[in-house]
Amino acid sequence: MEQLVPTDHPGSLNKRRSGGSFAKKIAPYVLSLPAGVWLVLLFIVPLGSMLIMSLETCSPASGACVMTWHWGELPSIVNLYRGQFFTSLYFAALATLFDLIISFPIAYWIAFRGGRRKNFFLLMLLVPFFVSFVIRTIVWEFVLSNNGVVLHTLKHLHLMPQGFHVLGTGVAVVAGLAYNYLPFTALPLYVALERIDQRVLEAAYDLYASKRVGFMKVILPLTVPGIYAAFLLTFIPAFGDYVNQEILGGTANTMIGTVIQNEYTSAGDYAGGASLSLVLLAVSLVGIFLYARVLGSRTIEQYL
Amino acid sequence: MSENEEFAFGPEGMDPAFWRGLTQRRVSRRGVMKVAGLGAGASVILAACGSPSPAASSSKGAVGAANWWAKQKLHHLVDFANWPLYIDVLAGKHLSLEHFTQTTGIKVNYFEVIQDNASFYAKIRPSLAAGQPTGYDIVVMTNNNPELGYLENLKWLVPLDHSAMPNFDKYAGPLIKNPTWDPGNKYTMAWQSGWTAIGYNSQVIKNPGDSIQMLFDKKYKGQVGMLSDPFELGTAGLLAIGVEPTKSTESDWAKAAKKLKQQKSDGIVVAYYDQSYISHLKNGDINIAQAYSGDIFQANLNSKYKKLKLLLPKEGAMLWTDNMAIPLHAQNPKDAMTLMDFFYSPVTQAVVEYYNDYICPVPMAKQQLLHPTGWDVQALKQLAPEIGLPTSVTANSPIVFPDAASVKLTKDYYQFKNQEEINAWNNLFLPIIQGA
Amino acid sequence: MSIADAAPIEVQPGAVDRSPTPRRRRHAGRFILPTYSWLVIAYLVFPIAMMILYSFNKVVGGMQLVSFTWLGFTTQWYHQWSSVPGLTSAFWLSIRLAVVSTVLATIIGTLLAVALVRYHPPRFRGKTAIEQVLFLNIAAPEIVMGSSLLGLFVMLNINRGFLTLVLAHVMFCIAYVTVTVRARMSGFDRALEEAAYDLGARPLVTFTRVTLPLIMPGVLAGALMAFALSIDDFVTSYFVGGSSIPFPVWVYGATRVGIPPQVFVFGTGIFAVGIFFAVLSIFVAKKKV
Repeated sequence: MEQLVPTDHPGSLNKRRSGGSFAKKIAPYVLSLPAGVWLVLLFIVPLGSMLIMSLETCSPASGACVMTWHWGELPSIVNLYRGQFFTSLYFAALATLFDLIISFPIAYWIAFRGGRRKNFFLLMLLVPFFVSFVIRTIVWEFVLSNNGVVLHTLKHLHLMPQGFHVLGTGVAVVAGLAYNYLPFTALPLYVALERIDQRVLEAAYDLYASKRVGFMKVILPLTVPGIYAAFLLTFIPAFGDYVNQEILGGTANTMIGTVIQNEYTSAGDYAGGASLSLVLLAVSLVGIFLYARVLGSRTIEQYL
Repeated sequence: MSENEEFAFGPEGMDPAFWRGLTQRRVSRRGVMKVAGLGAGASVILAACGSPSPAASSSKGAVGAANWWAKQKLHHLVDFANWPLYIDVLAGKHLSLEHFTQTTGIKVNYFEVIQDNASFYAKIRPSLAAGQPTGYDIVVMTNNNPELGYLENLKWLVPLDHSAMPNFDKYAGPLIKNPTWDPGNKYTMAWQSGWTAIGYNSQVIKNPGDSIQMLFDKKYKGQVGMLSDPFELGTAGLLAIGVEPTKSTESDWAKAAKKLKQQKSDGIVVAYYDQSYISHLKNGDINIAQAYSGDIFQANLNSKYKKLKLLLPKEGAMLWTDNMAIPLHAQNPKDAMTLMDFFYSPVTQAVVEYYNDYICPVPMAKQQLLHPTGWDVQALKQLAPEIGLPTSVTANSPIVFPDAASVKLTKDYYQFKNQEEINAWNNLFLPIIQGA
Repeated sequence: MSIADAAPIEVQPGAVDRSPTPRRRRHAGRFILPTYSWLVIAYLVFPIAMMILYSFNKVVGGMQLVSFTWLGFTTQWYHQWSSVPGLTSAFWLSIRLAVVSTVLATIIGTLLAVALVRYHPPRFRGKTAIEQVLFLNIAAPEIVMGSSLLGLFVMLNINRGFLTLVLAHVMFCIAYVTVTVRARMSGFDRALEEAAYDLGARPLVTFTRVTLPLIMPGVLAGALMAFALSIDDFVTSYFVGGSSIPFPVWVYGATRVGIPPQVFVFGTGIFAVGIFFAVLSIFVAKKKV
């Protein structure tokens, strides 16, 4: 995980073999061919076909689509659902913010105070991943329901008015998103904190830096790439999420993911769904490219 | 475009007979049939594009014709796609299907894969459009959504073999025989019917009244669940503004939409649900909901949920029917016919209904439930501990075998004449459901 | 996406003893951070505990659906784990799918990882492009990948079912496998391979006898991750599954009418197996240190 020296550059011994036989020349291409073909055909090509599809017009009855070059369709459908886009941005941003706030202290604690039990604590952070995403969300649905453990107790103690409900509100959706994506935030933060060279920190303290200054001037700046990775890995999936909204949400908090899912799997309007998907992708790409530009596309691997 | 393209979509001259609810079905389907536009200004789409549509090729030996049926053989297998919790089940086994397999030697693969009409249609549509089998020999679609109409109009269903449905001819009830959505039962046989009415928690709601206005009453703020099906939702709006759904106009729809928007902005609605409304009603997340009759009856089987009650409002209880049909390119059509007709035996229906509690398509099943005579004696006995009620309760329930009073409250859904109307409807009601 | 994201960390050899000796522990708030951290852990574990607990809950009357009112302890659902036919077949479908996808993705992903570690731009043109595609693949929203694949399959008239599920699952697993294997290979000592060559071993022999055993822990970690990703995948499967319905999709569909208690039994089972392998990998990693 932590490589101060990039160890994957060719060893010096290798040099004398370079420029070997034809087989050696094509070796990297042969090795990467299956993955390349797979990813191009099933990842890149579909993204391209989405662009084509967004310009078509499809019949709701037969589903047959013909190319109509409806460039106007894209802005009009995006405009139609702009509210849902903003809701998604807002919810994803809130959930990411909460996750950053919630997970920074625990990541810090595990990285600096975890000691021998570090792996145990990391496993605890990962525990949710061993239960299907859908099941976890369903359990929250039950927990947050009016007669569920939380609300029922609070109402029983008269800490909450009888008519109060959480399910169906934006609060429930953000809570679900924050819960489901918390590990995506905590782990990159942990990796970033863990990589901080303790000696740097010690040097700061030796120079009479206070705890607070040590944190603000040493720890926080060194964690910035981790924070950004955490942001990226939390915000993008939360932005495109629809399961939390569908299970926990209500009347006025439809997210764009729900609309896209409906367009494809219910209305059968592939053209409309593709247009919305494209916008979703474009927004995500802004974040992805910014990250790649500033920190390099490979660095994300360290945080996975 | 293939030569046998038959259904051109165009905004002008749609054929109303294509749309469900018209009593006269066109006999000939030759020539270009114009169905519907794709909303204002949409260009003309040829629906049959890329579809080999063997059904259309010629009348002689065409799919579903008598000589076509004569050539079909039993494969001793049938793949049946249905909605969840819609057939008798005991410890993971379906007694009715097991009996069918025992007596006919036809194995039934029963899939509970239909969650709603639109999404199931979206799932099978690409296969049908590509001229491929859907993987199912029987599908079950509801008459109050456009999808059954799409299937009929595009001729994506196999016309039934009317020589192979003796039970249906003998026992099918008047509500579902020769229905408006499929005159002469050319393509479909009903599976079950039901009402969309109001379900409420009688422990909380002491004076429900008798009106659909209950759903719009501000005193139930934050307690009401509505259905996310735009056709159900819009229809409730129509009833609330006092309009007869079958006679409604687009301007009525707009008024209904306004009423529903008000209901939403007043905070009366908690959420728009699919069938999950029933668990929210049970949990107490909502106290009043647009509800399907059978769900409430089934919930009542559990003593904990006896508090849930069904109200057929005076403005009307919407009657819908789920219909069995054979999708085009089905691999085992003859087996499918055999199974579909099997469900019209009163004995079978008694067993299915004892579990289901929707409106039974076979009125004779009532006698059968009261005095079982065949293999149902054993089956009903086996099911009894699971159901926890004597069969007479099911037999005498007005929501399984409707009485005259309930039939009087029954109303039909608006029948769309073309795609533009469907789009207009959706454009009014979908934004309410999918609000940001 | 899931478990996978962190698997390389938790099994990372050497991650264990890096923590420095804590300094200046004696301040007033020394209990705040641990208490807080345990609360967060409790929060993460809470729904899982609920799931396990309620897999032992009785159901009274009517349909056998989960209710979150405690009605008494029973192991009935464990005895009748297979009595919901649709659920059981969805579960086995998920297992088959995960196994096939894991095997394919692990092979393909490992080959790519080897290429990426070994070769560099002058000899390996397009390496940067591949790395960018991997990055994009990991970062792209899943709904976009799922929906665009559905669009493509429909456009090409490819019937959706088990085959399309495998195609899609391998697609989103490859990048994770490659990244994991590559991270493990970074510390890999090329001299051992060189020695084998010098002793006259042919490339294939060198690969199977020397390279593969050395990178095996990384490959296994990658495979574990692919398996976890595949078995938990909902979004992509929902789009491209057609009439094949894997476990998470079945459960999601069942939420409309209520879920049978067996869902929690399967959930608990998958959880137990997952934890077992995770703990195992920690021990394996510890031994290596």
